[in-house]
Amino acid sequence: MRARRDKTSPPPVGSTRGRSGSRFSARAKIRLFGGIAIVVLLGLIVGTRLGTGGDTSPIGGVDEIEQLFTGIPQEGVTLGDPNAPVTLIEYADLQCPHCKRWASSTLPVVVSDYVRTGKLKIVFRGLSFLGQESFMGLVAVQSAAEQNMLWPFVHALYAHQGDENSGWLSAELLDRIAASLELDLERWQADLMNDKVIARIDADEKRAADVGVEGTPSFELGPSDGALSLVAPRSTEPEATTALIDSVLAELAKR
Amino acid sequence: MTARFWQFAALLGALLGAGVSAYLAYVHYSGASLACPTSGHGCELVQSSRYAQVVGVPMGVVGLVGYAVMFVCTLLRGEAARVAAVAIAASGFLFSAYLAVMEYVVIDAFCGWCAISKLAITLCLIGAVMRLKAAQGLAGNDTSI
Repeated sequence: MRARRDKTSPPPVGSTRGRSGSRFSARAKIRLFGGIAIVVLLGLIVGTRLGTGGDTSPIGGVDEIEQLFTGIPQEGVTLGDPNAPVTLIEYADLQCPHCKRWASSTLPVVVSDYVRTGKLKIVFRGLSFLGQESFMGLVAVQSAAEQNMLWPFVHALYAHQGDENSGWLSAELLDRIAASLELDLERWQADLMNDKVIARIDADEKRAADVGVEGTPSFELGPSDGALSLVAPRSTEPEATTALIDSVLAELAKR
Repeated sequence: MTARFWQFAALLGALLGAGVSAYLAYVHYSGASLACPTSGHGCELVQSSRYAQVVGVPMGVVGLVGYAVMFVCTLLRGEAARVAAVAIAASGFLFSAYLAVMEYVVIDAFCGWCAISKLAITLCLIGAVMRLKAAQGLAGNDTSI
Protein backbone atom coordinates (compact mmCIF):
# COMPACT_ATOMS: atom_id res chain seq x y z
CA MET A 1 0.00 0.00 0.00
CA ARG A 2 1.15 3.53 -0.77
CA ALA A 3 1.47 5.81 2.22
CA ARG A 4 -0.72 8.95 2.03
CA ARG A 5 1.43 12.13 2.27
CA ASP A 6 0.68 14.54 5.08
CA LYS A 7 -1.02 17.65 3.63
CA THR A 8 1.03 19.93 5.89
CA SER A 9 4.40 18.46 4.94
CA PRO A 10 6.51 20.24 2.26
CA PRO A 11 6.35 18.91 -1.30
CA PRO A 12 8.97 16.30 -2.15
CA VAL A 13 12.28 17.48 -3.56
CA GLY A 14 12.06 18.00 -7.32
CA SER A 15 8.32 18.75 -7.32
CA THR A 16 7.18 21.51 -9.69
CA ARG A 17 4.08 22.32 -7.68
CA GLY A 18 4.01 25.73 -6.02
CA ARG A 19 2.48 27.01 -2.81
CA SER A 20 -1.02 27.37 -4.25
CA GLY A 21 -1.00 23.78 -5.44
CA SER A 22 -0.46 24.76 -9.05
CA ARG A 23 1.89 22.75 -11.26
CA PHE A 24 4.07 25.88 -11.83
CA SER A 25 5.49 28.39 -9.37
CA ALA A 26 4.45 32.07 -9.52
CA ARG A 27 7.85 32.97 -11.01
CA ALA A 28 7.43 30.36 -13.76
CA LYS A 29 3.95 31.70 -14.58
CA ILE A 30 5.27 35.25 -14.84
CA ARG A 31 8.06 34.04 -17.15
CA LEU A 32 5.61 32.05 -19.28
CA PHE A 33 2.94 34.75 -19.65
CA GLY A 34 5.57 37.50 -19.92
CA GLY A 35 7.17 35.63 -22.81
CA ILE A 36 3.81 35.18 -24.52
CA ALA A 37 3.02 38.89 -24.00
CA ILE A 38 6.31 39.96 -25.61
CA VAL A 39 5.67 37.69 -28.60
CA VAL A 40 2.11 39.07 -28.98
CA LEU A 41 3.37 42.66 -28.69
CA LEU A 42 6.05 42.17 -31.33
CA GLY A 43 3.50 40.40 -33.56
CA LEU A 44 1.10 43.35 -33.29
CA ILE A 45 3.80 45.92 -34.08
CA VAL A 46 5.09 43.91 -37.05
CA GLY A 47 1.45 43.43 -38.13
CA THR A 48 0.87 47.17 -38.39
CA ARG A 49 4.07 47.55 -40.39
CA LEU A 50 3.02 44.79 -42.81
CA GLY A 51 0.01 46.84 -43.84
CA THR A 52 1.86 50.10 -44.29
CA GLY A 53 2.35 49.84 -47.99
CA GLY A 54 5.69 49.99 -49.68
CA ASP A 55 4.49 47.90 -52.63
CA THR A 56 5.18 50.01 -55.69
CA SER A 57 4.43 47.41 -58.37
CA PRO A 58 2.60 49.05 -61.28
CA ILE A 59 -1.18 48.96 -61.59
CA GLY A 60 -2.89 48.04 -64.85
CA GLY A 61 -4.48 50.60 -67.17
CA VAL A 62 -1.97 53.42 -66.66
CA ASP A 63 -1.52 53.84 -70.43
CA GLU A 64 -5.24 54.49 -70.92
CA ILE A 65 -5.28 56.97 -68.03
CA GLU A 66 -2.26 58.83 -69.40
CA GLN A 67 -3.84 58.87 -72.85
CA LEU A 68 -7.02 60.41 -71.43
CA PHE A 69 -5.31 63.27 -69.59
CA THR A 70 -2.02 63.88 -71.42
CA GLY A 71 -1.71 67.37 -72.86
CA ILE A 72 -4.56 68.80 -70.78
CA PRO A 73 -3.63 71.51 -68.27
CA GLN A 74 -4.11 70.40 -64.66
CA GLU A 75 -3.80 72.72 -61.74
CA GLY A 76 -4.64 71.41 -58.30
CA VAL A 77 -8.18 70.07 -58.49
CA THR A 78 -8.93 71.67 -61.87
CA LEU A 79 -8.75 69.89 -65.22
CA GLY A 80 -8.65 72.02 -68.36
CA ASP A 81 -7.86 75.53 -69.47
CA PRO A 82 -8.25 77.85 -66.44
CA ASN A 83 -9.82 80.41 -68.83
CA ALA A 84 -12.41 77.99 -70.27
CA PRO A 85 -15.82 79.74 -70.61
CA VAL A 86 -17.79 76.96 -68.87
CA THR A 87 -17.12 75.36 -65.46
CA LEU A 88 -18.33 71.97 -64.32
CA ILE A 89 -17.83 71.09 -60.65
CA GLU A 90 -18.10 67.40 -59.84
CA TYR A 91 -18.98 66.26 -56.31
CA ALA A 92 -17.89 62.65 -55.96
CA ASP A 93 -17.23 59.97 -53.39
CA LEU A 94 -14.42 57.65 -54.48
CA GLN A 95 -16.39 54.62 -53.31
CA CYS A 96 -19.58 55.59 -55.15
CA PRO A 97 -20.31 53.20 -58.06
CA HIS A 98 -22.33 55.84 -59.98
CA CYS A 99 -19.30 58.18 -59.81
CA LYS A 100 -17.17 55.40 -61.27
CA ARG A 101 -19.75 54.83 -64.02
CA TRP A 102 -19.84 58.53 -64.86
CA ALA A 103 -16.04 58.65 -64.91
CA SER A 104 -15.72 55.65 -67.22
CA SER A 105 -18.56 56.38 -69.65
CA THR A 106 -19.04 60.16 -69.68
CA LEU A 107 -15.76 61.75 -68.59
CA PRO A 108 -13.75 60.56 -71.65
CA VAL A 109 -16.36 62.09 -73.98
CA VAL A 110 -16.53 65.35 -72.02
CA VAL A 111 -12.73 65.53 -71.93
CA SER A 112 -12.24 64.96 -75.65
CA ASP A 113 -15.15 67.13 -76.87
CA TYR A 114 -15.17 69.99 -74.37
CA VAL A 115 -12.05 70.06 -72.17
CA ARG A 116 -9.46 69.43 -74.88
CA THR A 117 -11.13 72.03 -77.08
CA GLY A 118 -10.87 74.64 -74.31
CA LYS A 119 -14.62 75.07 -73.84
CA LEU A 120 -14.86 73.54 -70.37
CA LYS A 121 -12.88 73.08 -67.20
CA ILE A 122 -13.81 70.50 -64.57
CA VAL A 123 -13.25 70.97 -60.84
CA PHE A 124 -13.17 67.98 -58.46
CA ARG A 125 -14.74 68.25 -55.04
CA GLY A 126 -14.47 65.09 -52.96
CA LEU A 127 -16.90 63.88 -50.33
CA SER A 128 -16.52 60.99 -47.92
CA PHE A 129 -20.05 60.15 -46.82
CA LEU A 130 -19.59 56.45 -47.67
CA GLY A 131 -17.05 55.82 -44.92
CA GLN A 132 -13.45 55.76 -43.80
CA GLU A 133 -12.06 54.33 -47.02
CA SER A 134 -13.58 57.29 -48.90
CA PHE A 135 -11.77 59.65 -46.55
CA MET A 136 -8.51 57.73 -46.93
CA GLY A 137 -8.84 57.96 -50.72
CA LEU A 138 -9.72 61.66 -50.56
CA VAL A 139 -6.60 62.50 -48.59
CA ALA A 140 -4.54 60.57 -51.16
CA VAL A 141 -6.07 62.28 -54.22
CA GLN A 142 -5.90 65.72 -52.62
CA SER A 143 -2.21 65.06 -51.90
CA ALA A 144 -1.80 64.16 -55.58
CA ALA A 145 -3.47 67.50 -56.40
CA GLU A 146 -0.44 69.19 -54.84
CA GLN A 147 1.48 67.72 -57.81
CA ASN A 148 -1.33 68.50 -60.28
CA MET A 149 -2.09 64.79 -60.61
CA LEU A 150 -5.51 64.55 -58.96
CA TRP A 151 -7.49 63.56 -62.03
CA PRO A 152 -5.33 60.60 -63.13
CA PHE A 153 -5.24 59.45 -59.48
CA VAL A 154 -9.04 59.60 -59.16
CA HIS A 155 -9.43 57.73 -62.45
CA ALA A 156 -6.96 55.04 -61.35
CA LEU A 157 -8.87 54.58 -58.09
CA TYR A 158 -12.17 54.18 -59.93
CA ALA A 159 -10.53 51.53 -62.13
CA HIS A 160 -9.85 49.47 -58.97
CA GLN A 161 -13.04 50.30 -57.08
CA GLY A 162 -14.44 47.48 -54.92
CA ASP A 163 -17.37 47.10 -52.54
CA GLU A 164 -17.85 49.91 -50.02
CA ASN A 165 -15.45 49.70 -47.05
CA SER A 166 -14.39 46.17 -48.00
CA GLY A 167 -10.71 47.00 -47.73
CA TRP A 168 -10.18 47.64 -51.46
CA LEU A 169 -8.98 51.20 -50.84
CA SER A 170 -5.80 50.16 -49.09
CA ALA A 171 -2.46 51.80 -48.41
CA GLU A 172 -0.93 49.31 -50.85
CA LEU A 173 -3.26 50.34 -53.68
CA LEU A 174 -2.62 54.04 -53.03
CA ASP A 175 1.15 53.49 -53.02
CA ARG A 176 0.98 51.50 -56.25
CA ILE A 177 -1.12 54.16 -57.98
CA ALA A 178 1.20 56.95 -56.81
CA ALA A 179 4.23 55.01 -58.08
CA SER A 180 2.54 54.06 -61.37
CA LEU A 181 1.62 57.69 -62.05
CA GLU A 182 5.24 58.61 -61.28
CA LEU A 183 4.39 61.01 -58.50
CA ASP A 184 7.16 62.34 -56.27
CA LEU A 185 6.46 59.66 -53.64
CA GLU A 186 8.26 61.39 -50.79
CA ARG A 187 6.36 64.63 -51.36
CA TRP A 188 3.05 62.81 -51.83
CA GLN A 189 3.56 60.91 -48.56
CA ALA A 190 4.40 64.15 -46.75
CA ASP A 191 1.32 65.88 -48.18
CA LEU A 192 -0.91 63.15 -46.71
CA MET A 193 -0.38 65.03 -43.42
CA ASN A 194 -0.56 68.48 -45.00
CA ASP A 195 -2.99 70.85 -43.25
CA LYS A 196 -3.77 72.45 -46.61
CA VAL A 197 -5.03 69.11 -47.93
CA ILE A 198 -7.32 68.61 -44.92
CA ALA A 199 -8.54 72.21 -45.18
CA ARG A 200 -9.51 71.58 -48.81
CA ILE A 201 -11.50 68.46 -47.83
CA ASP A 202 -13.30 70.53 -45.16
CA ALA A 203 -14.02 73.30 -47.65
CA ASP A 204 -15.44 70.83 -50.19
CA GLU A 205 -17.77 69.35 -47.57
CA LYS A 206 -18.97 72.81 -46.59
CA ARG A 207 -19.50 73.89 -50.18
CA ALA A 208 -21.47 70.69 -50.91
CA ALA A 209 -23.71 71.35 -47.91
CA ASP A 210 -24.16 75.00 -48.88
CA VAL A 211 -25.28 74.24 -52.44
CA GLY A 212 -27.54 71.37 -51.33
CA VAL A 213 -25.69 68.31 -52.64
CA GLU A 214 -27.61 65.23 -51.51
CA GLY A 215 -25.84 62.43 -53.38
CA THR A 216 -22.97 61.68 -55.73
CA PRO A 217 -22.16 62.28 -58.43
CA SER A 218 -23.62 65.79 -58.29
CA PHE A 219 -22.63 68.68 -60.48
CA GLU A 220 -22.59 72.44 -60.55
CA LEU A 221 -22.52 73.85 -64.05
CA GLY A 222 -22.51 77.33 -65.55
CA PRO A 223 -20.49 80.08 -67.16
CA SER A 224 -17.07 80.51 -65.53
CA ASP A 225 -17.73 84.23 -65.12
CA GLY A 226 -21.22 83.80 -63.69
CA ALA A 227 -23.28 81.82 -61.23
CA LEU A 228 -23.17 78.03 -61.28
CA SER A 229 -26.30 75.94 -60.76
CA LEU A 230 -26.71 72.50 -59.28
CA VAL A 231 -27.66 70.22 -62.18
CA ALA A 232 -28.66 66.57 -62.30
CA PRO A 233 -27.88 64.64 -65.50
CA ARG A 234 -30.68 62.12 -66.19
CA SER A 235 -28.17 59.27 -66.35
CA THR A 236 -24.46 58.49 -66.30
CA GLU A 237 -24.48 58.17 -70.11
CA PRO A 238 -22.49 60.88 -71.96
CA GLU A 239 -25.52 62.46 -73.70
CA ALA A 240 -27.12 63.38 -70.39
CA THR A 241 -24.14 65.53 -69.38
CA THR A 242 -23.18 66.84 -72.82
CA ALA A 243 -26.74 68.14 -73.37
CA LEU A 244 -26.43 70.26 -70.21
CA ILE A 245 -23.00 71.60 -71.24
CA ASP A 246 -24.33 72.38 -74.74
CA SER A 247 -27.17 74.41 -73.27
CA VAL A 248 -24.75 76.56 -71.26
CA LEU A 249 -22.53 77.03 -74.33
CA ALA A 250 -25.62 78.00 -76.35
CA GLU A 251 -26.58 80.58 -73.71
CA LEU A 252 -23.06 82.01 -73.82
CA ALA A 253 -23.18 82.17 -77.63
CA LYS A 254 -26.30 84.37 -77.42
CA ARG A 255 -24.47 87.02 -75.38
CA MET B 1 -7.58 48.46 -1.23
CA THR B 2 -8.61 44.90 -1.78
CA ALA B 3 -7.88 42.62 -4.69
CA ARG B 4 -11.60 42.69 -5.49
CA PHE B 5 -11.48 46.49 -5.86
CA TRP B 6 -8.59 46.27 -8.35
CA GLN B 7 -10.33 43.42 -10.17
CA PHE B 8 -13.34 45.71 -10.59
CA ALA B 9 -11.10 48.54 -11.88
CA ALA B 10 -9.52 46.24 -14.47
CA LEU B 11 -12.94 44.94 -15.55
CA LEU B 12 -14.16 48.52 -15.95
CA GLY B 13 -11.12 49.34 -18.11
CA ALA B 14 -11.71 46.25 -20.27
CA LEU B 15 -15.38 47.15 -20.73
CA LEU B 16 -14.56 50.75 -21.64
CA GLY B 17 -11.92 49.63 -24.14
CA ALA B 18 -14.21 46.98 -25.63
CA GLY B 19 -16.95 49.59 -26.05
CA VAL B 20 -14.66 51.99 -27.94
CA SER B 21 -13.23 49.15 -30.06
CA ALA B 22 -16.71 47.82 -30.90
CA TYR B 23 -17.78 51.28 -32.03
CA LEU B 24 -14.69 51.70 -34.25
CA ALA B 25 -15.20 48.21 -35.74
CA TYR B 26 -18.87 49.03 -36.41
CA VAL B 27 -17.94 52.29 -38.15
CA HIS B 28 -15.32 50.51 -40.25
CA TYR B 29 -17.64 47.82 -41.58
CA SER B 30 -20.89 49.81 -41.78
CA GLY B 31 -19.43 52.89 -43.46
CA ALA B 32 -21.24 55.04 -40.89
CA SER B 33 -19.71 58.45 -40.34
CA LEU B 34 -17.25 58.51 -37.46
CA ALA B 35 -18.46 60.68 -34.58
CA CYS B 36 -15.32 62.07 -32.99
CA PRO B 37 -15.31 63.25 -29.36
CA THR B 38 -12.81 65.94 -30.41
CA SER B 39 -13.20 68.52 -33.16
CA GLY B 40 -11.54 68.32 -36.58
CA HIS B 41 -10.59 65.33 -38.70
CA GLY B 42 -8.19 63.81 -36.15
CA CYS B 43 -10.20 60.61 -35.60
CA GLU B 44 -10.82 60.11 -39.33
CA LEU B 45 -7.17 60.73 -40.17
CA VAL B 46 -5.93 58.24 -37.59
CA GLN B 47 -8.60 55.62 -38.28
CA SER B 48 -8.08 55.78 -42.04
CA SER B 49 -4.31 55.77 -41.71
CA ARG B 50 -2.14 52.79 -42.54
CA TYR B 51 -1.47 52.24 -38.81
CA ALA B 52 -5.13 51.53 -38.05
CA GLN B 53 -4.82 47.85 -38.98
CA VAL B 54 -2.86 44.73 -38.11
CA VAL B 55 -2.17 42.62 -41.22
CA GLY B 56 -5.33 44.10 -42.72
CA VAL B 57 -7.55 43.52 -39.66
CA PRO B 58 -9.06 46.85 -38.50
CA MET B 59 -7.76 48.11 -35.15
CA GLY B 60 -11.31 48.11 -33.78
CA VAL B 61 -11.49 44.32 -34.20
CA VAL B 62 -7.99 43.81 -32.77
CA GLY B 63 -8.94 45.93 -29.75
CA LEU B 64 -12.25 44.15 -29.27
CA VAL B 65 -10.53 40.75 -29.17
CA GLY B 66 -7.79 42.03 -26.85
CA TYR B 67 -10.18 43.66 -24.38
CA ALA B 68 -12.46 40.57 -24.44
CA VAL B 69 -9.51 38.31 -23.50
CA MET B 70 -8.51 40.85 -20.83
CA PHE B 71 -12.06 40.84 -19.44
CA VAL B 72 -12.21 37.04 -19.26
CA CYS B 73 -8.76 36.74 -17.60
CA THR B 74 -9.74 39.39 -15.05
CA LEU B 75 -12.97 37.59 -14.32
CA LEU B 76 -11.28 34.21 -13.79
CA ARG B 77 -9.92 33.16 -10.42
CA GLY B 78 -6.48 31.80 -9.64
CA GLU B 79 -2.92 32.97 -9.91
CA ALA B 80 -2.51 31.92 -13.55
CA ALA B 81 -5.42 34.15 -14.61
CA ARG B 82 -4.09 37.07 -12.57
CA VAL B 83 -0.62 36.79 -14.10
CA ALA B 84 -2.11 36.37 -17.60
CA ALA B 85 -4.21 39.53 -17.07
CA VAL B 86 -1.08 41.49 -16.15
CA ALA B 87 0.75 40.15 -19.21
CA ILE B 88 -2.14 41.03 -21.56
CA ALA B 89 -2.58 44.49 -20.05
CA ALA B 90 1.17 45.16 -20.24
CA SER B 91 1.43 44.13 -23.90
CA GLY B 92 -1.73 46.15 -24.68
CA PHE B 93 -0.31 49.16 -22.88
CA LEU B 94 3.01 48.99 -24.74
CA PHE B 95 1.24 48.50 -28.08
CA SER B 96 -0.93 51.48 -27.25
CA ALA B 97 2.20 53.53 -26.50
CA TYR B 98 3.65 52.52 -29.89
CA LEU B 99 0.42 53.61 -31.62
CA ALA B 100 0.50 56.90 -29.70
CA VAL B 101 3.98 57.62 -31.09
CA MET B 102 2.72 56.86 -34.63
CA GLU B 103 -0.35 59.05 -34.01
CA TYR B 104 1.49 62.13 -32.78
CA VAL B 105 4.78 61.86 -34.67
CA VAL B 106 3.95 60.20 -38.00
CA ILE B 107 0.26 60.99 -38.64
CA ASP B 108 0.40 64.26 -36.67
CA ALA B 109 -3.23 64.03 -35.52
CA PHE B 110 -5.16 63.57 -32.30
CA CYS B 111 -7.86 60.89 -32.09
CA GLY B 112 -10.27 61.21 -29.16
CA TRP B 113 -11.37 57.56 -29.34
CA CYS B 114 -7.72 56.43 -29.23
CA ALA B 115 -7.19 58.59 -26.13
CA ILE B 116 -10.13 56.89 -24.39
CA SER B 117 -8.72 53.49 -25.34
CA LYS B 118 -5.33 54.47 -23.90
CA LEU B 119 -7.07 55.47 -20.70
CA ALA B 120 -8.88 52.10 -20.66
CA ILE B 121 -5.73 50.01 -21.14
CA THR B 122 -3.94 52.05 -18.46
CA LEU B 123 -6.80 51.31 -16.07
CA CYS B 124 -6.58 47.61 -17.04
CA LEU B 125 -2.83 47.55 -16.34
CA ILE B 126 -3.06 49.32 -12.98
CA GLY B 127 -6.00 47.14 -11.94
CA ALA B 128 -4.33 43.90 -13.03
CA VAL B 129 -0.97 44.68 -11.36
CA MET B 130 -2.52 45.87 -8.11
CA ARG B 131 -4.88 42.88 -8.07
CA LEU B 132 -1.92 40.52 -8.44
CA LYS B 133 0.00 42.32 -5.68
CA ALA B 134 -3.01 42.40 -3.37
CA ALA B 135 -3.71 38.71 -3.97
CA GLN B 136 -0.06 37.78 -3.36
CA GLY B 137 -0.23 39.69 -0.10
CA LEU B 138 -3.13 37.51 0.86
CA ALA B 139 -1.41 34.29 -0.21
CA GLY B 140 -1.96 31.60 2.34
CA ASN B 141 -5.16 33.31 3.49
CA ASP B 142 -7.36 33.95 0.45
CA THR B 143 -6.10 33.68 -3.11
CA SER B 144 -9.45 33.02 -4.72
CA ILE B 145 -9.92 36.56 -6.12
